[in-house]
Amino acid sequence: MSTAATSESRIIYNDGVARRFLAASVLWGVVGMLVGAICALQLAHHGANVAPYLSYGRLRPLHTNAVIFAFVGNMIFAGIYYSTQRLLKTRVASDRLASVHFWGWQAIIVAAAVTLPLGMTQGKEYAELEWPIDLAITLVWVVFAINFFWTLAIRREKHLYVAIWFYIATIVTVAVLHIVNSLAIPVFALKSYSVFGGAQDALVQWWYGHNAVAFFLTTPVLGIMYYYLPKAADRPVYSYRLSIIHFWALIFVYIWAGPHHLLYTALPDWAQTLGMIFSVMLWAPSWGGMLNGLLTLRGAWDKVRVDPVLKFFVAGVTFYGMATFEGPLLSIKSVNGLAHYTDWIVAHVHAGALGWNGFMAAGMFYWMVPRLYGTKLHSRALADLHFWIGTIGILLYCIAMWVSGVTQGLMLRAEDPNGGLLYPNFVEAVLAVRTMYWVRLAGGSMYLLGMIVMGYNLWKTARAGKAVDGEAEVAPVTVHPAVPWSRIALSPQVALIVVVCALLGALAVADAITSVTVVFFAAAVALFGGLALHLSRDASTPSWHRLLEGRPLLFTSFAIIAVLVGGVAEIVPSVVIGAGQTATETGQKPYTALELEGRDVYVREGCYTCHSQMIRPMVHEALRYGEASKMDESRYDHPFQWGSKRTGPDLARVGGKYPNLWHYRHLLDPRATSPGSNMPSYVFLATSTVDFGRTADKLHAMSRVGVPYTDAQIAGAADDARRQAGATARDLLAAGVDVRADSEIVALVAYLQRLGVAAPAAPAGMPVAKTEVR
Amino acid sequence: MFHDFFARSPVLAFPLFSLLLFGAIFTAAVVYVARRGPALEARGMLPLEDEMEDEAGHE
Repeated sequence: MSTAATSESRIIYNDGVARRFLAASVLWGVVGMLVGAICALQLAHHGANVAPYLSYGRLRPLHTNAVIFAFVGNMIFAGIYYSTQRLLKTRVASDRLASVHFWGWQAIIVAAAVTLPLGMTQGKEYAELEWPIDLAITLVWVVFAINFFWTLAIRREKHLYVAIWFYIATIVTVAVLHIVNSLAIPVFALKSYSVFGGAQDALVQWWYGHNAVAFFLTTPVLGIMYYYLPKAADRPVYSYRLSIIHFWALIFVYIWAGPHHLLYTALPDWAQTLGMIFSVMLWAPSWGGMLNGLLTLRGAWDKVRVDPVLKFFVAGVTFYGMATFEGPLLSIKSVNGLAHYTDWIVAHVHAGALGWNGFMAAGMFYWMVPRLYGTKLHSRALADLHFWIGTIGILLYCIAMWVSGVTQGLMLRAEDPNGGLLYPNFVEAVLAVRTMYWVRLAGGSMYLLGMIVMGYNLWKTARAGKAVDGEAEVAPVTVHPAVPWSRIALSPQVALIVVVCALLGALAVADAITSVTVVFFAAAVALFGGLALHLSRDASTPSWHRLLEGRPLLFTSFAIIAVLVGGVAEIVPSVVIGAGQTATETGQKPYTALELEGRDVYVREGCYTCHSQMIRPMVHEALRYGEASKMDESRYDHPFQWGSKRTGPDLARVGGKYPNLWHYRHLLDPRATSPGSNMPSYVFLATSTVDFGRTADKLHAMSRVGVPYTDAQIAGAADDARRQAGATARDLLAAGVDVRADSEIVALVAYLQRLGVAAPAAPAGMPVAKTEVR
Repeated sequence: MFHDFFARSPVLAFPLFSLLLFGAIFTAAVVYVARRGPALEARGMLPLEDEMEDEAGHE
């Protein structure tokens, strides 16, 4: 601890930054949820796709980014700035850095709101923003981290409260996740290709995607729970011991669970199994945290009846418990086989986002705003109204999506008595859940209305008071003899953990029988070693963890190690194995220049938000889509486009299934070829053109991430693309359609015709299936 | 029946073993949490002792 004050002093906190982040969170929350409601309308009625830049495929990433990074992001920053200053009994280290953090974050949000509708995207879920914005995120995050750790260094409270641990884990882990997953080679100003491809990219992306949920939507909000819930209930957290177990178990286990998003895919089985097992293990720490939150209200449950703050907190923590029960359940392979790619996952996500994040935010805002403006809440009745319409909205939303998801899962796998598909046309499942999409819209709109009511209530509260910054008299800090870091880092406790982890690490090379022995031995060492350490402890001296709580740098180092173990164990082997493969071994060939241009259109339009490119090894999938996808088939996909939701059918083997004319007609008017489809029309693709002048740059960038394009292919990319486009346009002309050869629709058709077709005969060839239009 | 079940494959013991392992660790965690140390739990009071203006906002 660097500061050792010896006289009582008065502190004025910087609450202005918390006020600004809070206001931004409410504003962006309404915007993000409004975009979500528009997306829900578009899924229920395709006519709501009124313009290219407002189509579902472009708005859906805007919705997710706005809610995650703008609404929840600003909310957690407000909560962190407010609580950290008070828990550390010091003003934030730098007002200027706090201001840079705030305005930098808002600039990033505005940049996202402009670029995503324009189709500037990396095509990776929750990480769509292009490389200049990714760089800005990194810089602003570093500013935030510097200010946070600087504040830790000048604190006037020796011990770090549990909320601070969760903030530390958030800051370091989000930095690692964002940097690794955003590694990309720029092509030009707002276009880049991920350095990872295929299965590697899938693993990295869902390591990031899952842990964005874990370390952006969960750990900081848990920190907020540990600070604001005791404040609102006016009693300490139920069990500080439980919070220690909760914290370390959660951050260690969570990071491994990412592959549960890729069950039954072409990801190696060992990675899928690890993801499933660690997801199931997450039940325990997640529920430990939930119970610690709810039991904090012991003896104060009567307050929940009248206090809207506690109402929101109790409901929020309960939704956390439900979502963290459902998550591990969905990670069990047999359940996942039914639920994956369906609306069940959408229900799960929104139970967490609306119930946990949204209600915790509301509770925190209703608690903070009166204090930040030195007044009372404008209307408790309006807060109660918000609570009830929000709760009913969530229930309508989730129940509709559960019904829809289970319906989709059952219909798409249903077989007739002859072993064929009972519902061979994918649209049958789309039509069956259309009503549920309207119910979802109703539920989401109710929740949005609640947000607007909250915004009005908070605005009236702020108007009734005036901005005040909190103050505190800080008692002198008692200076204890410093405990050397080595005594903590090289303690028997750490040695025990290292030994147990080393034993468990041996499982990677052990056979089945040996692994049981190893696990048994490791468990015995952990239990008896822990017991021995506990019995040998001198009760008059501070515990090991108490010493660690006074050492932020060491604490942060241990937290980094805890979160890195899982990521390294899962990602490094796959990257090393992938790097060792050569094109000759795999038999795959890169996309032609035109196909690559078409792929960029596919990514730009967000087709991956509704279509997967991953056929699972299941009978009904083979009957519907063809042979199960192999890892090798997407090795040149930077980024991978396996998708996570099937509002439309899988496209992994759509190449050659229909003639060019079918794709042309389908893109212009999906209902012309697939009556009942809710896909937007892409008429504009027939007139928008591909800039072949940039095609060589794209091939060159792809070659830099490992795609084996030759110099000749790169140099002749534009000519090759024009040649193949001309052939496709002539084929369409022969079928009675006159379309520009350099139009984007021609490039997209070329890409679609390549999917599932191992390699064309020649780059300039045209893979066309001469079949009848259906 | 018990013997017949496990005779089918030695790996059928894995789930049982996992359950026992979970039970042991869960029990250890519950015992640890249930043993409330006053010094430890006092640190849980930190949010409640942090400022002067705290009374203002509660209705």
